[in-house]
Amino acid sequence: MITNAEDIKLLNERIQQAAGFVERIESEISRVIVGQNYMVSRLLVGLLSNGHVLLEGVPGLAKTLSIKSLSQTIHAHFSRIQFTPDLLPADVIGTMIYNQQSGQFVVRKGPIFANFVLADEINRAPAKVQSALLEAMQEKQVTIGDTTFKLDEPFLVLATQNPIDQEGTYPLPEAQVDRFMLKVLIDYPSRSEEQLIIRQNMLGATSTPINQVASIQEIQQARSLVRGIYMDEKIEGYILDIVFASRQPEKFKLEKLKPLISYGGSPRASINLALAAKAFAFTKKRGYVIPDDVKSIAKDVMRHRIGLTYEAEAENVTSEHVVEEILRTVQVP
Amino acid sequence: MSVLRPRTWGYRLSLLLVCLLAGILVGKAQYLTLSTDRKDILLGEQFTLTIKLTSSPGKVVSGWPLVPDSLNHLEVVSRGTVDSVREGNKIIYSQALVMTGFDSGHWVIPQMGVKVDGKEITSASADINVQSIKLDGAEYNDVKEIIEVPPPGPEWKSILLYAFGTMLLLLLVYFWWRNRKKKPVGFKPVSKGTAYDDAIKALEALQKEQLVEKGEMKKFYSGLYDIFREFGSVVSAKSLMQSTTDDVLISMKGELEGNSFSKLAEVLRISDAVKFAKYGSSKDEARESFIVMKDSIDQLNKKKA
Repeated sequence: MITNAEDIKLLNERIQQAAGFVERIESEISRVIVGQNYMVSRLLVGLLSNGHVLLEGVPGLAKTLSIKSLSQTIHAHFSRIQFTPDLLPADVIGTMIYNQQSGQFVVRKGPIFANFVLADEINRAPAKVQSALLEAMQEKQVTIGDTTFKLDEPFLVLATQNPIDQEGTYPLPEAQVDRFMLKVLIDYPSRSEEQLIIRQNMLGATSTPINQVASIQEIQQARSLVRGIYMDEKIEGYILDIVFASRQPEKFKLEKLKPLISYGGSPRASINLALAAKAFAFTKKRGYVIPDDVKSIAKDVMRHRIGLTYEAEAENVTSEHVVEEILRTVQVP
Repeated sequence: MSVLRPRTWGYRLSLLLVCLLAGILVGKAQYLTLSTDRKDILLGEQFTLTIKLTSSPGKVVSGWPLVPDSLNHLEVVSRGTVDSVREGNKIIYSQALVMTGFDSGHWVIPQMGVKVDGKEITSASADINVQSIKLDGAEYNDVKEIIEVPPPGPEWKSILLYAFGTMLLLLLVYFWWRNRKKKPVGFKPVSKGTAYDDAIKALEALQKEQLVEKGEMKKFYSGLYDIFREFGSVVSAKSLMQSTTDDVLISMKGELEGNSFSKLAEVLRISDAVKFAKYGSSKDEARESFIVMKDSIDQLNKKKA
């Protein structure tokens, strides 16, 4: 428990030492991936705050490569599940199979038993498969037959969604989307970045092996440090103002948003915003949270937690707009 | 015999009187009467006036009384035709008129006349009472004297309600006052001067509070930071009160020359550390921060001018 300036100073020093791997990971990933620094930094926030990440972007934006590279930098077990309409829960979590030689049923663990699980196009599988995955995400354990297996730590699910071609998809229900700490929108790289991508591909740089630059132990240690990062009461107030503005916009001089919002951020939004802000502060090698940390990560935490009305849809207003407006209006301490 | 004489004279006198009366009645074989079916009516109520002539057959009747529509405060509503009935050796002519009255009072229907064989026969008059209220002989009471009523006493229910309401209001005001959002220390933006004047005044007010000397660094840096954000809002033409340190620095990039920008950035970072990380800035550092902030404001003002 941090009580005085000396504790914060000591924590700051510890974090400056412990957070060294962040730069190493970012630099190692940048060897194979050009641009997408935003996505990589959010993946690190998810990794450090033990929160799952939902990535949304059109195909071909190096989502899979980024996640695979991240797992390689810490030498973690990575698995990828391509979600399809005929996928079954057993295909994700595993099943009991009969061994003819021993004459017994044995457990065949599914691809969820990994440190990094990439659930590609999660909205293509039916609800029962999504539920199986999301339950595992929440409980951090899986039951196959009569046995319950704890999932390895770190356990991070990175799900992707394709914003186009929605036919034949099963959109995630609001309650399940809420379980993702961050929803990151991935955009196209800039013109200069894309030029570099072409050049690297021509040279075959994407097949460059990724080196391990951090260990799972370092990640575990960093996670415990992240939880201990100091957050001032004023910062807590700022977080609450943002979340409450999504629920009662009229109390924050945002009357125009009231008819556009059907429901605002849940208490889980407040918790995750605080945790993600701490993780973001860690990546900046700080032992305390400042408003910049909260504002930087707020969109990724809030955008999938705000329900919009039909009026908003008719006006082409997205939750992104709503969060931006809230951040523009809520006073920074 | 002397006893019988007076009886005989009395008997004879009585017989004579009877004969005289019978002679009068027989002589008056034609007569006209006016009669009403009611003696009292309320305003607007109707009654029937009957004009009746009793005559002998063969007599010529002329000049039947014509009753005008309005007659001595009475009005004729409808009038029937003159009818005749033979009763033995008499013939009776009659006419019924429905009448009403709208003025209260005792009204007389004057006597009327008709000619029988050229001889005028007149009737007696009739009368009717027109009343505004029904006087049916019930017991009437005098109008009562004004009864004095004591003035109403205090309504305790209302008094208690008002007292409770006032107390509730006072409590609400008290809680609002206690929990009201405190204004940034030292900054008083209400002024008729320019934004620069406001900022300088606010800096002077902040200095007067001697927060550095008192060791209240959090309040001092909060005030300093807010003064700059308020002034910066005017310079950059966008509200910086909703901006973080990074946002403020982005807005100020290019506005400050030389190493002023890096000095400002340093002060803003110290402010963040003091406000959000319990950083114990020294008094010298705080005074230096004050100077840097004032210089930045001066420089921005000059550039703006």
